[in-house]
Amino acid sequence: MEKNLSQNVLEKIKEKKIRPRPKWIFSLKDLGFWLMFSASLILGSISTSLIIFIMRNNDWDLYLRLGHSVFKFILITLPYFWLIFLVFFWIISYYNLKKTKSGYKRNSFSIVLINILVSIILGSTLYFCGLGSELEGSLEENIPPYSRMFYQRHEMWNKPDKGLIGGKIIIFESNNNFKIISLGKKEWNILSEDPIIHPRLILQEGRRVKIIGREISGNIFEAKEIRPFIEKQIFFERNRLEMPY
Amino acid sequence: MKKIPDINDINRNSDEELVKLTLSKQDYFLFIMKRYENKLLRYILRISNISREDAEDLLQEVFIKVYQNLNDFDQKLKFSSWIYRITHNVVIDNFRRIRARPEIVNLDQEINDKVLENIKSDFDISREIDIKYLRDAMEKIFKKIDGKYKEVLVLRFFEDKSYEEISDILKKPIGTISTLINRAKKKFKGEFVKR
Repeated sequence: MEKNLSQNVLEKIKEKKIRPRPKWIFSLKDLGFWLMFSASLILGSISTSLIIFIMRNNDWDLYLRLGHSVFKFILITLPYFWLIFLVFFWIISYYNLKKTKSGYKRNSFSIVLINILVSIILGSTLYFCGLGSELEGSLEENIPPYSRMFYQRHEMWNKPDKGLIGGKIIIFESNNNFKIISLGKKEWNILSEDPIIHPRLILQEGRRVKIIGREISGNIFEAKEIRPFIEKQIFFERNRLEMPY
Repeated sequence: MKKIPDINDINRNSDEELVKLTLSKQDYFLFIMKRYENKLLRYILRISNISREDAEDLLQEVFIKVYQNLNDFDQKLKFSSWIYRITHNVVIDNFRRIRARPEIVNLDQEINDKVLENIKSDFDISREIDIKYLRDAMEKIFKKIDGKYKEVLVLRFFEDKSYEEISDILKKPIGTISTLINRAKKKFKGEFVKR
Protein backbone atom coordinates (compact mmCIF):
# COMPACT_ATOMS: atom_id res chain seq x y z
CA MET A 1 0.00 0.00 0.00
CA GLU A 2 2.67 2.47 1.14
CA LYS A 3 4.30 2.29 -2.24
CA ASN A 4 1.07 2.80 -4.15
CA LEU A 5 -0.98 5.35 -2.24
CA SER A 6 1.11 8.36 -3.23
CA GLN A 7 1.40 7.15 -6.81
CA ASN A 8 -2.37 6.58 -6.97
CA VAL A 9 -2.98 10.11 -5.76
CA LEU A 10 -0.60 11.55 -8.32
CA GLU A 11 -2.31 9.57 -11.07
CA LYS A 12 -5.69 10.75 -9.88
CA ILE A 13 -4.44 14.36 -9.88
CA LYS A 14 -3.25 13.97 -13.46
CA GLU A 15 -6.31 12.07 -14.62
CA LYS A 16 -8.76 14.59 -13.17
CA LYS A 17 -6.54 17.48 -14.27
CA ILE A 18 -6.51 18.87 -10.74
CA ARG A 19 -4.48 22.06 -10.47
CA PRO A 20 -3.40 24.12 -7.45
CA ARG A 21 -5.81 26.98 -6.98
CA PRO A 22 -4.28 30.32 -7.97
CA LYS A 23 -2.63 32.33 -5.21
CA TRP A 24 -4.87 35.35 -5.80
CA ILE A 25 -7.94 33.39 -4.65
CA PHE A 26 -6.36 32.84 -1.24
CA SER A 27 -5.08 36.42 -1.06
CA LEU A 28 -8.53 37.72 -1.96
CA LYS A 29 -10.16 35.52 0.66
CA ASP A 30 -7.76 36.76 3.35
CA LEU A 31 -8.24 40.34 2.21
CA GLY A 32 -12.01 39.80 2.41
CA PHE A 33 -11.72 38.79 6.07
CA TRP A 34 -9.53 41.81 6.85
CA LEU A 35 -11.98 44.12 5.08
CA MET A 36 -14.94 42.63 6.93
CA PHE A 37 -13.02 42.97 10.20
CA SER A 38 -12.21 46.63 9.48
CA ALA A 39 -15.72 47.42 8.25
CA SER A 40 -17.23 45.88 11.38
CA LEU A 41 -14.89 47.90 13.59
CA ILE A 42 -15.88 51.10 11.78
CA LEU A 43 -19.60 50.30 11.89
CA GLY A 44 -19.23 49.40 15.58
CA SER A 45 -17.53 52.74 16.17
CA ILE A 46 -20.34 54.57 14.37
CA SER A 47 -22.81 52.76 16.64
CA THR A 48 -20.70 53.85 19.62
CA SER A 49 -20.76 57.49 18.46
CA LEU A 50 -24.57 57.29 18.28
CA ILE A 51 -24.75 55.67 21.72
CA ILE A 52 -22.56 58.41 23.19
CA PHE A 53 -24.64 61.07 21.47
CA ILE A 54 -27.96 59.63 22.62
CA MET A 55 -26.78 59.14 26.19
CA ARG A 56 -25.20 62.60 26.42
CA ASN A 57 -28.37 64.23 25.11
CA ASN A 58 -30.66 62.22 27.26
CA ASP A 59 -32.34 65.12 29.10
CA TRP A 60 -30.95 63.80 32.36
CA ASP A 61 -32.40 66.79 34.20
CA LEU A 62 -35.93 65.55 33.60
CA TYR A 63 -36.12 62.24 35.41
CA LEU A 64 -37.35 63.84 38.63
CA ARG A 65 -40.05 65.80 36.76
CA LEU A 66 -41.21 62.49 35.29
CA GLY A 67 -41.21 60.88 38.72
CA HIS A 68 -38.72 58.17 37.73
CA SER A 69 -35.73 56.86 39.64
CA VAL A 70 -32.37 57.29 37.86
CA PHE A 71 -32.26 53.52 37.29
CA LYS A 72 -35.71 53.44 35.65
CA PHE A 73 -34.85 56.52 33.60
CA ILE A 74 -31.69 54.81 32.30
CA LEU A 75 -33.62 51.62 31.50
CA ILE A 76 -36.23 53.59 29.56
CA THR A 77 -33.79 55.69 27.62
CA LEU A 78 -30.94 53.25 26.85
CA PRO A 79 -30.39 53.07 23.08
CA TYR A 80 -30.93 49.30 22.90
CA PHE A 81 -31.03 49.29 19.11
CA TRP A 82 -27.48 50.68 18.81
CA LEU A 83 -26.22 48.57 21.68
CA ILE A 84 -27.42 45.43 19.86
CA PHE A 85 -25.81 46.73 16.67
CA LEU A 86 -22.54 47.34 18.51
CA VAL A 87 -22.43 43.84 19.95
CA PHE A 88 -23.39 42.41 16.55
CA PHE A 89 -20.45 44.22 14.89
CA TRP A 90 -18.12 43.08 17.66
CA ILE A 91 -19.11 39.48 16.93
CA ILE A 92 -18.65 39.97 13.16
CA SER A 93 -15.24 41.58 13.58
CA TYR A 94 -14.14 38.89 16.09
CA TYR A 95 -15.18 36.12 13.70
CA ASN A 96 -13.46 37.73 10.71
CA LEU A 97 -10.22 38.43 12.55
CA LYS A 98 -10.11 34.82 13.73
CA LYS A 99 -10.62 33.71 10.11
CA THR A 100 -7.62 35.64 8.77
CA LYS A 101 -4.45 33.65 8.16
CA SER A 102 -2.79 34.55 11.45
CA GLY A 103 -6.00 35.30 13.37
CA TYR A 104 -5.95 32.05 15.32
CA LYS A 105 -2.74 33.13 17.07
CA ARG A 106 -4.49 35.98 18.85
CA ASN A 107 -6.31 35.08 21.99
CA SER A 108 -9.99 35.82 22.28
CA PHE A 109 -9.58 38.21 25.21
CA SER A 110 -7.17 40.44 23.27
CA ILE A 111 -9.53 40.54 20.26
CA VAL A 112 -12.48 41.53 22.46
CA LEU A 113 -10.29 44.17 24.14
CA ILE A 114 -9.17 45.57 20.75
CA ASN A 115 -12.82 45.73 19.67
CA ILE A 116 -13.87 47.59 22.79
CA LEU A 117 -10.92 50.02 22.70
CA VAL A 118 -11.32 50.81 18.99
CA SER A 119 -15.06 51.34 19.45
CA ILE A 120 -14.48 53.71 22.35
CA ILE A 121 -11.60 55.67 20.78
CA LEU A 122 -12.91 55.84 17.20
CA GLY A 123 -16.53 56.14 18.38
CA SER A 124 -15.66 59.11 20.65
CA THR A 125 -13.70 60.76 17.84
CA LEU A 126 -16.63 60.36 15.46
CA TYR A 127 -18.95 61.69 18.15
CA PHE A 128 -16.80 64.78 18.72
CA CYS A 129 -16.69 65.30 14.96
CA GLY A 130 -20.48 65.47 15.03
CA LEU A 131 -21.22 62.21 13.24
CA GLY A 132 -23.48 60.91 16.02
CA SER A 133 -25.74 63.96 15.96
CA GLU A 134 -25.78 64.16 12.15
CA LEU A 135 -26.76 60.52 11.82
CA GLU A 136 -29.29 60.58 14.61
CA GLY A 137 -30.87 63.75 13.17
CA SER A 138 -31.07 62.39 9.68
CA LEU A 139 -32.40 59.00 10.78
CA GLU A 140 -35.03 60.66 12.98
CA GLU A 141 -36.10 63.00 10.20
CA ASN A 142 -36.10 60.62 7.27
CA ILE A 143 -36.85 57.16 8.61
CA PRO A 144 -40.10 57.09 10.60
CA PRO A 145 -39.67 53.46 11.76
CA TYR A 146 -36.34 54.48 13.33
CA SER A 147 -38.09 57.18 15.31
CA ARG A 148 -40.75 54.71 16.41
CA MET A 149 -38.06 52.45 17.85
CA PHE A 150 -37.29 55.14 20.37
CA TYR A 151 -40.95 55.49 21.35
CA GLN A 152 -40.19 55.46 25.08
CA ARG A 153 -37.63 58.26 24.77
CA HIS A 154 -39.95 60.38 22.68
CA GLU A 155 -42.96 59.58 24.80
CA MET A 156 -41.28 61.57 27.59
CA TRP A 157 -41.96 64.64 25.44
CA ASN A 158 -45.63 63.87 25.03
CA LYS A 159 -46.63 64.63 28.61
CA PRO A 160 -48.15 68.13 28.69
CA ASP A 161 -49.61 67.39 32.13
CA LYS A 162 -46.02 67.02 33.41
CA GLY A 163 -44.91 70.15 31.57
CA LEU A 164 -43.13 68.40 28.72
CA ILE A 165 -44.11 68.73 25.11
CA GLY A 166 -42.28 68.13 21.85
CA GLY A 167 -43.13 68.62 18.19
CA LYS A 168 -42.65 70.54 14.96
CA ILE A 169 -43.29 74.28 14.58
CA ILE A 170 -46.06 74.74 12.02
CA ILE A 171 -46.81 78.46 12.39
CA PHE A 172 -44.21 80.86 13.66
CA GLU A 173 -45.13 84.37 14.79
CA SER A 174 -42.36 85.14 17.26
CA ASN A 175 -40.25 83.42 19.90
CA ASN A 176 -43.11 84.16 22.29
CA ASN A 177 -45.92 82.95 20.10
CA PHE A 178 -45.93 79.99 17.75
CA LYS A 179 -47.88 76.84 17.02
CA ILE A 180 -46.58 73.28 17.00
CA ILE A 181 -47.94 69.90 16.08
CA SER A 182 -47.00 67.66 18.98
CA LEU A 183 -45.77 64.07 19.01
CA GLY A 184 -49.32 63.15 19.95
CA LYS A 185 -50.47 64.77 16.64
CA LYS A 186 -52.23 67.58 18.47
CA GLU A 187 -51.88 71.29 17.65
CA TRP A 188 -50.66 73.47 20.52
CA ASN A 189 -50.36 77.25 20.79
CA ILE A 190 -47.09 77.98 22.53
CA LEU A 191 -47.05 81.22 24.45
CA SER A 192 -44.32 82.63 26.60
CA GLU A 193 -42.95 85.78 28.05
CA ASP A 194 -39.26 85.32 28.28
CA PRO A 195 -38.41 81.66 27.68
CA ILE A 196 -34.92 80.22 27.95
CA ILE A 197 -34.03 79.31 24.38
CA HIS A 198 -31.05 77.09 23.61
CA PRO A 199 -28.26 79.44 22.44
CA ARG A 200 -27.95 77.89 18.99
CA LEU A 201 -31.63 77.30 18.42
CA ILE A 202 -33.31 79.56 15.87
CA LEU A 203 -37.05 79.12 15.99
CA GLN A 204 -38.72 78.87 12.60
CA GLU A 205 -41.35 76.82 10.79
CA GLY A 206 -40.47 73.19 10.30
CA ARG A 207 -38.02 73.17 13.26
CA ARG A 208 -38.50 70.34 15.78
CA VAL A 209 -38.37 71.48 19.38
CA LYS A 210 -38.75 70.21 22.93
CA ILE A 211 -40.51 72.53 25.34
CA ILE A 212 -40.54 72.57 29.14
CA GLY A 213 -43.32 74.59 30.73
CA ARG A 214 -46.91 74.09 31.80
CA GLU A 215 -50.24 73.30 30.21
CA ILE A 216 -52.57 76.29 30.52
CA SER A 217 -55.64 74.89 28.82
CA GLY A 218 -56.64 72.25 26.24
CA ASN A 219 -54.35 73.53 23.48
CA ILE A 220 -52.38 76.33 25.08
CA PHE A 221 -48.95 75.68 26.59
CA GLU A 222 -46.73 78.15 28.35
CA ALA A 223 -43.06 77.66 27.46
CA LYS A 224 -40.36 78.25 30.07
CA GLU A 225 -37.52 76.55 28.20
CA ILE A 226 -37.16 75.59 24.54
CA ARG A 227 -34.58 73.04 23.37
CA PRO A 228 -33.74 71.66 19.93
CA PHE A 229 -35.24 68.21 19.41
CA ILE A 230 -31.83 66.84 18.48
CA GLU A 231 -28.86 68.72 19.80
CA LYS A 232 -26.06 68.91 17.28
CA GLN A 233 -22.53 68.23 18.38
CA ILE A 234 -20.07 70.60 16.80
CA PHE A 235 -16.42 69.75 17.23
CA PHE A 236 -14.87 73.01 16.15
CA GLU A 237 -15.89 75.85 18.41
CA ARG A 238 -15.41 78.42 15.64
CA ASN A 239 -18.13 76.70 13.63
CA ARG A 240 -20.71 76.92 16.36
CA LEU A 241 -22.21 80.22 15.35
CA GLU A 242 -22.16 79.28 11.70
CA MET A 243 -24.24 76.18 12.32
CA PRO A 244 -27.48 77.16 14.00
CA TYR A 245 -30.38 74.75 14.29
CA MET B 1 11.65 18.75 -20.65
CA LYS B 2 13.24 18.99 -17.24
CA LYS B 3 14.14 15.58 -15.83
CA ILE B 4 12.93 14.76 -12.32
CA PRO B 5 15.99 14.25 -10.11
CA ASP B 6 16.70 11.08 -8.20
CA ILE B 7 14.91 10.56 -4.87
CA ASN B 8 18.22 10.77 -3.00
CA ASP B 9 18.84 14.25 -4.40
CA ILE B 10 15.29 15.30 -3.63
CA ASN B 11 15.59 14.15 -0.04
CA ARG B 12 18.14 16.88 0.50
CA ASN B 13 15.48 19.47 -0.36
CA SER B 14 13.42 20.98 2.40
CA ASP B 15 9.63 20.65 2.35
CA GLU B 16 9.34 24.30 1.41
CA GLU B 17 11.68 23.81 -1.56
CA LEU B 18 9.65 20.81 -2.64
CA VAL B 19 6.49 22.90 -2.56
CA LYS B 20 8.09 25.42 -4.92
CA LEU B 21 9.24 22.61 -7.20
CA THR B 22 5.76 21.04 -7.17
CA LEU B 23 4.20 24.32 -8.22
CA SER B 24 6.40 24.31 -11.30
CA LYS B 25 6.02 20.58 -11.98
CA GLN B 26 3.36 18.42 -10.37
CA ASP B 27 5.45 15.21 -10.40
CA TYR B 28 7.47 16.57 -7.50
CA PHE B 29 4.36 16.26 -5.38
CA LEU B 30 5.06 12.54 -5.23
CA PHE B 31 8.10 13.26 -3.06
CA ILE B 32 6.09 15.35 -0.64
CA MET B 33 3.52 12.58 -0.38
CA LYS B 34 6.17 9.92 0.12
CA ARG B 35 7.72 12.01 2.87
CA TYR B 36 4.47 12.31 4.80
CA GLU B 37 2.54 9.18 3.85
CA ASN B 38 3.44 7.05 6.86
CA LYS B 39 3.45 9.87 9.39
CA LEU B 40 0.02 11.12 8.36
CA LEU B 41 -1.49 7.66 8.12
CA ARG B 42 -0.36 6.97 11.69
CA TYR B 43 -1.71 10.34 12.80
CA ILE B 44 -5.12 9.67 11.21
CA LEU B 45 -5.28 6.28 12.89
CA ARG B 46 -4.30 7.77 16.23
CA ILE B 47 -6.96 10.43 16.27
CA SER B 48 -9.76 8.45 14.70
CA ASN B 49 -11.64 5.25 15.18
CA ILE B 50 -11.64 4.23 11.54
CA SER B 51 -10.14 1.21 9.82
CA ARG B 52 -6.79 1.35 8.05
CA GLU B 53 -8.57 1.23 4.69
CA ASP B 54 -10.74 4.22 5.57
CA ALA B 55 -7.68 6.01 6.88
CA GLU B 56 -5.96 5.48 3.53
CA ASP B 57 -8.98 6.92 1.74
CA LEU B 58 -8.85 9.94 4.02
CA LEU B 59 -5.14 10.30 3.40
CA GLN B 60 -5.77 10.39 -0.36
CA GLU B 61 -8.30 13.14 0.26
CA VAL B 62 -5.72 14.96 2.38
CA PHE B 63 -3.09 14.82 -0.35
CA ILE B 64 -5.48 16.08 -3.01
CA LYS B 65 -6.49 18.98 -0.75
CA VAL B 66 -2.86 19.74 -0.02
CA TYR B 67 -2.11 19.83 -3.75
CA GLN B 68 -5.10 22.04 -4.54
CA ASN B 69 -4.16 24.46 -1.76
CA LEU B 70 -0.40 24.55 -2.27
CA ASN B 71 -0.55 28.25 -3.13
CA ASP B 72 -2.14 28.88 0.24
CA PHE B 73 0.87 27.49 2.10
CA ASP B 74 2.22 30.25 4.30
CA GLN B 75 6.03 30.17 4.20
CA LYS B 76 6.06 31.56 7.76
CA LEU B 77 4.73 28.20 8.94
CA LYS B 78 6.51 24.88 8.94
CA PHE B 79 5.18 22.81 6.06
CA SER B 80 4.69 19.88 8.43
CA SER B 81 2.37 22.01 10.61
CA TRP B 82 0.38 23.03 7.56
CA ILE B 83 -0.02 19.49 6.24
CA TYR B 84 -0.96 18.20 9.71
CA ARG B 85 -3.54 21.00 9.92
CA ILE B 86 -5.14 19.90 6.65
CA THR B 87 -5.12 16.31 7.87
CA HIS B 88 -6.75 17.34 11.15
CA ASN B 89 -9.44 19.25 9.23
CA VAL B 90 -10.13 16.34 6.87
CA VAL B 91 -10.46 13.96 9.84
CA ILE B 92 -12.82 16.38 11.62
CA ASP B 93 -14.90 16.84 8.44
CA ASN B 94 -15.08 13.08 8.10
CA PHE B 95 -16.35 12.74 11.66
CA ARG B 96 -18.96 15.38 10.99
CA ARG B 97 -20.03 13.41 7.94
CA ILE B 98 -20.36 10.14 9.79
CA ARG B 99 -21.61 11.88 12.93
CA ALA B 100 -19.18 10.25 15.29
CA ARG B 101 -16.67 11.70 17.67
CA PRO B 102 -13.01 10.91 17.16
CA GLU B 103 -11.80 8.20 19.46
CA ILE B 104 -8.34 6.85 19.74
CA VAL B 105 -8.28 3.08 19.48
CA ASN B 106 -5.10 2.50 17.61
CA LEU B 107 -2.55 3.46 20.17
CA ASP B 108 -1.22 0.07 21.21
CA GLN B 109 0.66 -0.72 18.05
CA GLU B 110 2.29 2.70 18.05
CA ILE B 111 3.28 3.17 21.67
CA ASN B 112 6.99 2.71 21.45
CA ASP B 113 9.42 2.97 24.30
CA LYS B 114 10.42 6.53 23.40
CA VAL B 115 6.82 7.71 23.67
CA LEU B 116 6.44 5.92 27.02
CA GLU B 117 9.65 7.45 28.35
CA ASN B 118 8.47 10.89 27.22
CA ILE B 119 5.19 10.43 29.02
CA LYS B 120 6.82 9.08 32.17
CA SER B 121 9.18 12.03 32.48
CA ASP B 122 6.77 14.72 31.34
CA PHE B 123 3.87 13.47 33.45
CA ASP B 124 6.07 12.96 36.48
CA ILE B 125 5.13 9.29 36.70
CA SER B 126 7.39 7.08 38.79
CA ARG B 127 10.38 5.86 36.79
CA GLU B 128 10.13 2.40 38.29
CA ILE B 129 6.74 1.76 36.81
CA ASP B 130 6.47 -1.26 34.56
CA ILE B 131 6.43 -0.31 30.88
CA LYS B 132 3.86 -2.97 30.02
CA TYR B 133 1.58 -1.72 32.80
CA LEU B 134 1.94 1.88 31.56
CA ARG B 135 1.18 0.84 27.98
CA ASP B 136 -2.03 -0.97 29.08
CA ALA B 137 -3.03 1.92 31.30
CA MET B 138 -2.50 4.46 28.53
CA GLU B 139 -4.62 2.48 26.15
CA LYS B 140 -7.52 2.46 28.63
CA ILE B 141 -7.11 6.04 29.83
CA PHE B 142 -6.94 7.41 26.29
CA LYS B 143 -10.31 5.81 25.60
CA LYS B 144 -11.76 7.57 28.65
CA ILE B 145 -10.56 11.16 28.33
CA ASP B 146 -12.17 13.83 26.20
CA GLY B 147 -11.35 14.05 22.46
CA LYS B 148 -9.89 17.57 22.67
CA TYR B 149 -7.34 16.39 25.25
CA LYS B 150 -6.53 13.25 23.32
CA GLU B 151 -5.55 15.13 20.21
CA VAL B 152 -3.13 17.49 21.96
CA LEU B 153 -1.58 14.52 23.77
CA VAL B 154 -1.18 12.66 20.49
CA LEU B 155 0.41 15.67 18.81
CA ARG B 156 2.69 16.38 21.77
CA PHE B 157 3.84 12.91 22.72
CA PHE B 158 3.28 10.73 19.66
CA GLU B 159 3.95 13.19 16.86
CA ASP B 160 6.57 15.00 18.95
CA LYS B 161 5.29 18.47 18.00
CA SER B 162 6.22 21.66 19.83
CA TYR B 163 3.56 23.91 21.39
CA GLU B 164 3.96 26.36 18.52
CA GLU B 165 3.48 23.60 15.94
CA ILE B 166 0.39 22.30 17.76
CA SER B 167 -0.94 25.87 17.81
CA ASP B 168 -0.44 26.09 14.03
CA ILE B 169 -1.99 22.67 13.42
CA LEU B 170 -5.09 23.15 15.55
CA LYS B 171 -5.31 26.91 14.79
CA LYS B 172 -5.51 27.85 18.44
CA PRO B 173 -3.42 30.40 20.39
CA ILE B 174 -0.31 28.97 22.09
CA GLY B 175 -1.77 29.90 25.48
CA THR B 176 -4.83 27.78 24.78
CA ILE B 177 -2.62 24.86 23.67
CA SER B 178 -0.57 25.17 26.82
CA THR B 179 -3.73 25.14 28.95
CA LEU B 180 -5.13 22.17 27.01
CA ILE B 181 -1.92 20.17 27.44
CA ASN B 182 -1.72 20.94 31.15
CA ARG B 183 -5.34 19.93 31.65
CA ALA B 184 -4.81 16.84 29.52
CA LYS B 185 -1.81 15.88 31.65
CA LYS B 186 -3.83 16.39 34.84
CA LYS B 187 -6.72 14.29 33.49
CA PHE B 188 -4.31 11.61 32.40
CA LYS B 189 -2.47 11.58 35.69
CA GLY B 190 -5.73 11.64 37.64
CA GLU B 191 -6.96 8.61 35.76
CA PHE B 192 -3.58 6.94 36.15
CA VAL B 193 -3.50 7.43 39.90
CA LYS B 194 -7.04 6.02 40.24
CA ARG B 195 -5.88 2.75 38.70
